[in-house]
Amino acid sequence: MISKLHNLGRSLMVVGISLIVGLLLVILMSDDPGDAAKAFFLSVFSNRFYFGNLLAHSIPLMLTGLAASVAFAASCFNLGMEGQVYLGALAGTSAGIFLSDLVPGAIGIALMFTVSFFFGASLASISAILKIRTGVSELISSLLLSNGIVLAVDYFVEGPLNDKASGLAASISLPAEFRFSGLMMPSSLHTGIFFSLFTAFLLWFFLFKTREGFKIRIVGKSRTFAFYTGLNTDKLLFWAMFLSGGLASTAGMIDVVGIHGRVMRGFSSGYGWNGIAIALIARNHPLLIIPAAIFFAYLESGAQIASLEANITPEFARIVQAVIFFLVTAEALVPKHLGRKRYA
Amino acid sequence: MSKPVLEINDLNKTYDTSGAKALDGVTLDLFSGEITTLLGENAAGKTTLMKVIMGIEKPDSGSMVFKGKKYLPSGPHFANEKGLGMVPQSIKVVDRLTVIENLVLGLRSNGKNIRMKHYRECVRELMKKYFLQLPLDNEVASLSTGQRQKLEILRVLQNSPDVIIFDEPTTLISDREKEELFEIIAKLRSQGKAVVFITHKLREAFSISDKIVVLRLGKVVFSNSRYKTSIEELHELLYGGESCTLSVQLPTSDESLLRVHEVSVEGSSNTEAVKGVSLEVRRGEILFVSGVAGNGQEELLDGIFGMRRILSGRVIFEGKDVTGLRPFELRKLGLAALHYDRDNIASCRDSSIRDNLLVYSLSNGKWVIEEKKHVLSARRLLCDYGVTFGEIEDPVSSLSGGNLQKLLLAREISCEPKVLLLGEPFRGLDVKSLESVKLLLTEAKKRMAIVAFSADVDEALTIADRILIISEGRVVYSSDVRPGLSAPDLRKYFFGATEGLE
Amino acid sequence: MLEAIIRDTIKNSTPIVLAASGGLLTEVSGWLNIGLEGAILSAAFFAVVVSSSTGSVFFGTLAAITVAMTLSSMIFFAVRYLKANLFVVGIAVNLLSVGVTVTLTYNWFLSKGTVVFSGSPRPVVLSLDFLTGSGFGWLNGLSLFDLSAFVAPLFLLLFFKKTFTGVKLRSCGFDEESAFYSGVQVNDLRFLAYIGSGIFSGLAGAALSIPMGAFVSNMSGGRGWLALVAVIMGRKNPLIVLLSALMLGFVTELSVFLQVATEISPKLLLSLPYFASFIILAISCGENKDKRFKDW
Repeated sequence: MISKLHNLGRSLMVVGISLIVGLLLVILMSDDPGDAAKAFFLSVFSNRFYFGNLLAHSIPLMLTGLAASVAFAASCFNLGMEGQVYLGALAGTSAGIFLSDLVPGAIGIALMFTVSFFFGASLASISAILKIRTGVSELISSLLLSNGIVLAVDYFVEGPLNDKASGLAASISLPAEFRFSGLMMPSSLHTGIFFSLFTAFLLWFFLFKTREGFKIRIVGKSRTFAFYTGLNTDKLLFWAMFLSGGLASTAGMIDVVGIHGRVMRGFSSGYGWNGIAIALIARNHPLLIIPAAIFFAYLESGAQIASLEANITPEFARIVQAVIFFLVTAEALVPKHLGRKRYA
Repeated sequence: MSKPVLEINDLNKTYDTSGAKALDGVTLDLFSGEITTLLGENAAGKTTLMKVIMGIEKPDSGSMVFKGKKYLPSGPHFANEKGLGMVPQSIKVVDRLTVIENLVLGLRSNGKNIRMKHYRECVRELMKKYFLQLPLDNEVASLSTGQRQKLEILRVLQNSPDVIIFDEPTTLISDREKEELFEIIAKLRSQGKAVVFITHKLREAFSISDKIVVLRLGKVVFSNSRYKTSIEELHELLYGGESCTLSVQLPTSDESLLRVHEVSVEGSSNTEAVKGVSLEVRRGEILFVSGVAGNGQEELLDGIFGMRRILSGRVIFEGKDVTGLRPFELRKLGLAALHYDRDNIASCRDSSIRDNLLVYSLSNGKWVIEEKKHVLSARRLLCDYGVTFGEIEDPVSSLSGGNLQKLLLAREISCEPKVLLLGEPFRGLDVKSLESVKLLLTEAKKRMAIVAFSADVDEALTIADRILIISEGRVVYSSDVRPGLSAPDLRKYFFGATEGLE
Repeated sequence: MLEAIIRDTIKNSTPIVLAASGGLLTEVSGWLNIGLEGAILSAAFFAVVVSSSTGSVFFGTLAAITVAMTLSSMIFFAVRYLKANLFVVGIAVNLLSVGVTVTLTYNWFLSKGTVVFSGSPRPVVLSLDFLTGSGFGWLNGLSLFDLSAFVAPLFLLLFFKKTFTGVKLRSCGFDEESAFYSGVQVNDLRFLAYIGSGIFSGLAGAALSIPMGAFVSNMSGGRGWLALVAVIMGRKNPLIVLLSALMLGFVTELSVFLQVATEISPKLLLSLPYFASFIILAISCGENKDKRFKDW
């Protein structure tokens, strides 16, 4: 119990430090620090549009956060989420284009999500199989695959699936009935948020209340123990990565169905990396992923607004994220035993 | 008398995890040209004391003075530089490096600035001086245990330290190597070094030391010159009036449950740790596989239980070939094991007591975990097996060694396997837990066959039905336990294989 | 033609080989540096900025090394003193570099894509007449960076085998505990390895941007990751690391060559090095199949 509180305290501290760093950066970079800081921290809450966009942004982040946390729960590093996001979006959208006029909207959306899930899951499974069979670190293999896939998806979006009429680097649009309906107009918030919230709850139930979730957590805590104790570690690792890849790709799909209606080049502004940070801040707890994702969406939206209103490049949010990555796993950040006896 | 080289004043040390007091106000002086023997049972604090001297563990309080200066070691490196060296209990050499490279690791830097080529000459001279011959360019993985220990001794001696500590050096080597070791130690004394020799064997202590110090539960209970004491007095101090009770039960003959046929098991880095071992065990009997630790017992357990590769031979379980099956397949069939490594493999430190205890019933239960039922059964089991604990959700690392052992036994026995393999079931248990564990095992064996792997022959004799001794990966002795069979008799076989070959 | 291909392959491999050497140092010490990609990127940025403003390739390189060393020591300190996770902190450095370079190019040069430093100095390249036509003509046109890339793995080979520090460093990666008991200062040596890794990845970054005289956003383009692939394939042997890095450099060169020579979509070709290195990695590690338990 103490260690849980300790972890939570550390997360909050990291969040605090990162906000301070963000503030410092804004002050350093802007000609008018007061306005810029206000734009970064407060503008998000100033109107429905901004706030709705913040929530919309948190929808895919929750999913990648959940995806990362499943992998982490089994002590796997799924660094390929960026690729899974794109592949999932592309595969699901292709299915949607193919199915248009064939099935009614709800079924179409369900099918699109299913297709997208399986594509992303298969991509992650390749890394899992490689790890199980040959011991190649899933960290690097998933990353290589992902980097390649992102470029390949770009090719499809700019080539075979391109919507030539629009002149954008984007695919053909999905029919309107295959889209989520919007909430809080004119912002881009959509009903997909319920999907994300429900998924978080489902994953929490799976990891903490079911047999298979228990097994995955045991594998994550100590693989030798799990193996010795009679768990099929290979299989469990595989399923954890499978689930992680699938969840990551639904993050891509939900943005397509909810916001853009098509796959666009570079639509995921680092959902994959952010997902990892979110899972780390939430200490892998699926329900804590929700506030962590909203916090990240807040950071990103704040940076976007600051760039619009105060002439700051939004990439400075990356630096803030890097600070989070630096500190989030640091165990010594909050000393466990304050005032431990010194060597006399 | 001259001034001591190393003065140890009132050291105290309590371990965080178990809360056990390892050192309790230890005060000790070491003199040049004197061999001091530290005697004591397991967990008496001998090794902790040495770790504190080398700077591996930091004491909670107390101080040390080395050659008249305050001495605050920060690690083995620091101790090396100052002029203290230790040959650790479990052998610490890097398998993947060659002998000479391993020697480099321990070379102190404030000596002369020597080059690799020059260094080889120095090492040769050193080997000649102490009659320790080693193949310098061989990978350490190919060396025998005895050779590895020689390597460690050389690694320490090359710095010509003033204080040299040998931590239980005689447990891993043969009688002949022991003689050689004693010669080296005598030589070091004549060179005016202060030698610390740690052992729990009385006779050894008596044969070479000048001063004998007895530790018990972290306290120095005796410290005197060897000539002013007797073996009897020390025996009394160490073991009290305790006598060995033999309770022999005739094995109920039943069908053979587990048969291991000519099995060879892979050791570390492509060596063969177990070489063609056969054994058989029936329901209702306890078979002890004994011998000096590190001679292939651990690997045999790992091999049978599918955690290490079997190179040749077969494992037959209830007439079915189970060679090379993995633990999850074996456990389904009814073979269970308690692993040697209790902290890292047999238990999961970060998980709760409940999860560690119920890992089988949880992972073979219903899809949705039935919390209430499991908490109840966990409490019942813990109560039945007399495990003392705080909260059922506390991490398992909060348990003491004895309680952890009981918890793990509870877990393994409660899933009612047909054959139970036990790695070092008695390690680290206090007398009370020892008795209760023995009782548990004699109770359990009515329902299953038990194979225990333990270096502790004395304890083995009290509950085993049969004993098998392994040396250098081969079975050198096998017999039913019968009245009159004594531990010293059995120990003769411990180095049987090596003696026979030479 | 062949000469040009060899030369370009080498030029393409240079950053990978240098970064892989840095990675190898850390791999041997037991703590693999995941932040190579970021270190290269930041180093590339500062190399070209400093060299163009001072007019000296040397100062540019020095700046690159300093920056990369700072980044890798940050990883080390976070892991050593804050007890952070090695991989997560490595990722932090990668993100930090992306953020810092983009932010600074925007702030200093008001651009987010490519910044060309037209007046920046270029490194001296080898140009010896007698080599032309002797079969070694490809050596002409190589800079000091390229040559240092070849020396680096050989230097490491000697360092690992012949120096006391090298032997001690290797012991840390093999068996930390035994090394510690033997009297090796494990963490001090690891710090040394991270400093070394910083030097090499700094060179790699400088080798990337200075000859081009420009900085392109995200110009490291996955070379740090390819270097890590080379390190993993090399299994702690500098020569195999060198060969693997050369092979990956060749694949990169191939994708560039095919973009010019064929009609295949450049995007697909750009993804080629990633897929190729993935396959190479899978095949090269395919032999250690029946590892159970031992390495966990």
